[in-house]
Amino acid sequence: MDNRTTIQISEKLRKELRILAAKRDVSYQELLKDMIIIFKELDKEKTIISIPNQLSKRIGAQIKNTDVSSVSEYVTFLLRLVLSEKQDKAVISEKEAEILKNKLKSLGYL
Amino acid sequence: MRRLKKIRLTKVIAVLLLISLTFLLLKDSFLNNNDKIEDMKYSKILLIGIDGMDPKIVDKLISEGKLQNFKKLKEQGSYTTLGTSLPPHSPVAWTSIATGTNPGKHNIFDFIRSNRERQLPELSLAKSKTGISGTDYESYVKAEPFWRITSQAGIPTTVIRWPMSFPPEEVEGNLLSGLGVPDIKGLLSGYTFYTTSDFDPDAESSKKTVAVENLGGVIKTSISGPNIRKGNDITSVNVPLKIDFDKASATITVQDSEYPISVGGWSGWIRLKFKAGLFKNVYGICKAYIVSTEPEFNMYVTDIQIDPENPLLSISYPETYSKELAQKIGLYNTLGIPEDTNALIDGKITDETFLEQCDQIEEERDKMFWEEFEKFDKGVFAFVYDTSDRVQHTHWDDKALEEHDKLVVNQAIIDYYVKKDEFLGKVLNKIDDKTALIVLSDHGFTSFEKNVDINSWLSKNGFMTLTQQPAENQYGELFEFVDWEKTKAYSLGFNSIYINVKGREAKGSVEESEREKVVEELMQKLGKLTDPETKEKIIANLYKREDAYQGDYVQEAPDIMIGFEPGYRMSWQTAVGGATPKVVFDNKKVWNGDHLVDPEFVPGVLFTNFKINNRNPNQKDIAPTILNLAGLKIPEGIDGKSLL
Repeated sequence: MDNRTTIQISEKLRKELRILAAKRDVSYQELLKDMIIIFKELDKEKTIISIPNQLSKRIGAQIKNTDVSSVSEYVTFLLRLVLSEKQDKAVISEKEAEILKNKLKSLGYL
Repeated sequence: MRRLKKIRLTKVIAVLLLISLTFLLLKDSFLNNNDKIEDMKYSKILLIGIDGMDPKIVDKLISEGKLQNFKKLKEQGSYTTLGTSLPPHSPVAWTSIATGTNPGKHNIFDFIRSNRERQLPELSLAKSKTGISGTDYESYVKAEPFWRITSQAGIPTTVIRWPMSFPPEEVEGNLLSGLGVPDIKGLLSGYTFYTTSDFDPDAESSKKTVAVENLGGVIKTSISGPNIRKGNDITSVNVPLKIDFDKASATITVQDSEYPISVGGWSGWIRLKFKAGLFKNVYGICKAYIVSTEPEFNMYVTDIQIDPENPLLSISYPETYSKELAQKIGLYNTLGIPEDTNALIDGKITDETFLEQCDQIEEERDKMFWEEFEKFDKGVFAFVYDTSDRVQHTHWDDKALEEHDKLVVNQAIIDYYVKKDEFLGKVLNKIDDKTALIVLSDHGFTSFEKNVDINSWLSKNGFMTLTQQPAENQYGELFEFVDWEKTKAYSLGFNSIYINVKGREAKGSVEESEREKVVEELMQKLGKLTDPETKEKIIANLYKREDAYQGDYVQEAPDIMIGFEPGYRMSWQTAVGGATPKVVFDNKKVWNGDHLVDPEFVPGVLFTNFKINNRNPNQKDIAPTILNLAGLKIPEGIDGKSLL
């Protein structure tokens, strides 16, 4: 048996999701898969933090018409991004070095 | 009470009058902006760039009667060499042409710059930043290009494939970015070679080679797409690829679409869709070329480029323009440098196939040009062709280091120049007397016969200390072998030397107060560098940044710029922060022409259909000339002077 997550949705929501999938140029199944990932994320234990209303509004405006569905999702993403940055900028990982070398070498002059 | 009303009424009338007056004044000024160009001798300014067009070749071909239209333009207006930038790299030179400024003001000093925070080389083309919706790009250019000034004045302005115009900015027309536009992986080039033959896994090209198995006339493999981050790992998203083939032809099947292709021939554009994350699809386009199907199967697939109809990131202004253009002229190469010189150098495609690819690209560019030209009835239209640069880099037969009387020009280069002459003929027939025409190049060309490894020289002369000696295929790229505490200077890019200054470089060792002294000492020693074989000098000039540049960004410049003699070029190992065992060694690559020498040896060309006032113009004079032709005031801070 595959490791599956079942989600139940109403017929009305199913219709809306199909429209949404068509708009975003992804298949209905792809959209559902993505939603399951988000739902799983939402299920995780959370800590509520406060940010100024004004900032929240600005973020809301910035994510309007994007794939990001909520201010919380965006803030979580940004924090992960910040935390994933190396503390010592002068240290370069092997993978990063490989990517950088490939990038430089993709210049025809090399 | 009545008096109060009267005052109020008077005030209202005064305000209304003021508003009307302001409106009239503004209206006049708007009209002036639009009318300004009508009052000028020229209502249209047409600028055609041909990257790397060399005056030596132009002179030779004109004298041989092969460039009749360039000759006609020369006689009608003017023809001269055009002074190029220090260093004469396309990103530096085209930015100087666009902004009328020196690199100290526009901030582009080399193809590759030093990221001083990390003490690593990085590309100068555009700064990339990973964000919520993928990678964002930001230009390093700090000065204003002419298209921004003309657009702000309300003059219709269209710019197509100008190098360093990426990311695209708003103009009063259309803008399609050129050099700087990456592929869907964020790289500037990259092919894939599918083969049933054995290949050397240690060869540099092995990273781009995919071993496939012949399952009786069928090959099942995949195409590698964009990189995505999964936790701490970075992997690529792939799509399945199937090829059914026989002796003469094949069918490529990708994502339910079939593409017929003949052996020894090109496919049409193959469309690809990669699922690259939550709600995110990345669209790419590529072409395939089947080299052989027997006894071994060999197929070359171009870089996966951004699909102009569904761009991963904006490559045009307005953003929809790249799609509209594709709908008019068909899909087209969007990559900054789509001519695959690496595949040619690695021996994956023949010279003939490479030149076919160049022809296809040139045809697309012609379609782009005429599409915009037909609509061009007022303002500025700037268009840059750059396949010329790639053809010359790979077909430069003339040897600067050998004594000979006549310039030797490869037929592929002659063919290219002749084709551009035919194109110019059509342009000359179609333009009216209200059109000012400028045809120019950013630099010329010379040979690349010997590599000069400046990091190797620095390490042998006490300016750099290495933790281990470089060996064949172990060059310590990205300064892997450098002991920074004992290093006074380092080199990267194609003409740049940096002093390892404390506080400025992440691992600096030289006090700022000592910087000047190290610069002097280094210049004095390096200036004497000679070719061990011929005993001839290798470096024509060395430049201190303060002498070479002026402006707010001089501090960003390398401390020393090298002006090589013709025939010599920086080794690619130094360019990416490595070092080789020898300082000077032969260049055996197909990439045999270059222009990264002292600017005095590789000026560009300038043709105009009007007379100019300067016999020795510099490329910094072009932007002010365009502004002058457009009837606009030349802003302060521009270094060049109008040629009118």
